[in-house]
Amino acid sequence: MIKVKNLSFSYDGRDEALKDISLEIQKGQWISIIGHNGSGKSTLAKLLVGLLETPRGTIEIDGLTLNDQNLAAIRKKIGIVFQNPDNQFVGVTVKHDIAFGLENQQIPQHEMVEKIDHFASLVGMEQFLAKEPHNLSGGQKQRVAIAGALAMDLEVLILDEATSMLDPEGTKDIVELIKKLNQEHHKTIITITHDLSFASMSDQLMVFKDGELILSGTPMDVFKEEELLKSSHLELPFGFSLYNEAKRDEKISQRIVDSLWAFNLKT
Amino acid sequence: MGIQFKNVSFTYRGIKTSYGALNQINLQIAQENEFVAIVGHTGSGKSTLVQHMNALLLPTQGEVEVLGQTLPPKKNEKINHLRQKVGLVFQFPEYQLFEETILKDIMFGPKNFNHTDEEATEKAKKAAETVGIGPELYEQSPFRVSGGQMRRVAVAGILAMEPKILVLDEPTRGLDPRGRKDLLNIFRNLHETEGKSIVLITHDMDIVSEYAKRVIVLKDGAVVFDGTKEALFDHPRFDEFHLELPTPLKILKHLEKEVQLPYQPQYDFNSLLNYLKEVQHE
Repeated sequence: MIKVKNLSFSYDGRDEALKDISLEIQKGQWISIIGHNGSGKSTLAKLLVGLLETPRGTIEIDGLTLNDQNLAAIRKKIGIVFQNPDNQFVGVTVKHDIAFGLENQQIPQHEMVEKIDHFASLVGMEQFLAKEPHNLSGGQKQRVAIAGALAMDLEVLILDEATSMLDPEGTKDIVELIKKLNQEHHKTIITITHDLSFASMSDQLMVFKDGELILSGTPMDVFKEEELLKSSHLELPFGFSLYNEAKRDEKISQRIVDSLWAFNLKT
Repeated sequence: MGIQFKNVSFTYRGIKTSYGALNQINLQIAQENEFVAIVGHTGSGKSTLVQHMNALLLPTQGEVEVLGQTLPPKKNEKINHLRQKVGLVFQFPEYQLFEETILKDIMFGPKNFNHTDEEATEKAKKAAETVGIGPELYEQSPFRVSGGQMRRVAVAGILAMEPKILVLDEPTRGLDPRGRKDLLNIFRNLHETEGKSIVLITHDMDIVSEYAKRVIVLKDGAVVFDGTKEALFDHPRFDEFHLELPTPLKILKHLEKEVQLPYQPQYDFNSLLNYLKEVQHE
């Protein structure tokens, strides 16, 4: 679905924010891109949706190479939702907000109404269509932003720290929605996060440090590389960190160590 | 002294509707040595409650006593000075940064409370040091530093007013793990070295477990629990508060059930690890 080859990018023409990145993401996968602030993870996200210009290297989305000619077609395949729920609400009501992208595509009225209803109910916001943004919680605003992106019939949805400003209930709603979109609607999901417990739910992790892709694999594989994660300013979830410490300590019995691992698997 | 709520109710009044946000609150926070977490679901009244602590909101019914002054105030009685004595850090306080340089931004509070430039500079530098903002950043724009640093600059702006009590509304939301730990350790340090009372709103039970001494649980604008964190997490009707258990306690319950490890509450990573090392277990 996504093929990135030898991608480099620099904001000011000097320091490289991304250094020679090559990666592939299969259709229907849920990938988490993790890394500290300034590791290049958000830069990659913006490049994938064509929000930054003139990178070196190539990006291919669903067989289309990202360039000026293909940009419009690619934006119908891949979309992004950002961190701050208040900075991306463009409509005066939920309905208008979801309609925004569709209006830009000049979709006929009756089709548009159908789509709005469909995607509002997909994200569980069908009761809120007439509501204004200030009457919504952060989690609800993010769900509307996701509906607006999906209404373009996207294949790939990128969520850039989309839950980090939400309360636990809002976060839980978004996580449930991501799982549903991924498992039932077979959307390819890319979440960008520094929260490793959140990332642990995805199929695969890609770890970025100082603009380089330093590690990728399943969450369980990546979490074994504690020193590498620490040097990337990432912190293992409590249970994994405890497991690693306990495993190293001969005073702690193997039964306890095994049981700590079982705890991590079930949560 | 400190802060005392006496039968406080508060109603938000709109044009057509009004909404009762606090209902008959009674509680007391000592002027020193408190580390109180305020928890409860979104909409339970946490932010409304703490805005009464420095007179940003005044009770619709009942009285709040803040450092000896009764609110609502009598006619002609000034309440502005309470904003200096009880420092309130809002959610996402970095949105309120506005000055050209970091030092100027931190100086804004003390200058506003009638300190000379010289005094304000001195207080700002001291506050900057407390939050780990070094002199090399003084002349930087507050908008050109990382998210974690912006948050610390905003907190320094409140600390520079030298408040007696510090009130924080979800101070770590949106920060990465490193930024979160740095900030919480700053608060713990202020609490331990200066005995400053800290009131902290949070949704994160791991923060409550590791840092707080006392917890107030709000539900629908009322206090449903007020006591030590030990008492809260061991409460026979804990489920009814609809709160998560902190991770160390979840792990201990799991180990008790699966490998019959004796359950003895531990509230942070290191004490849990030490317990696992020392416990006698077959």
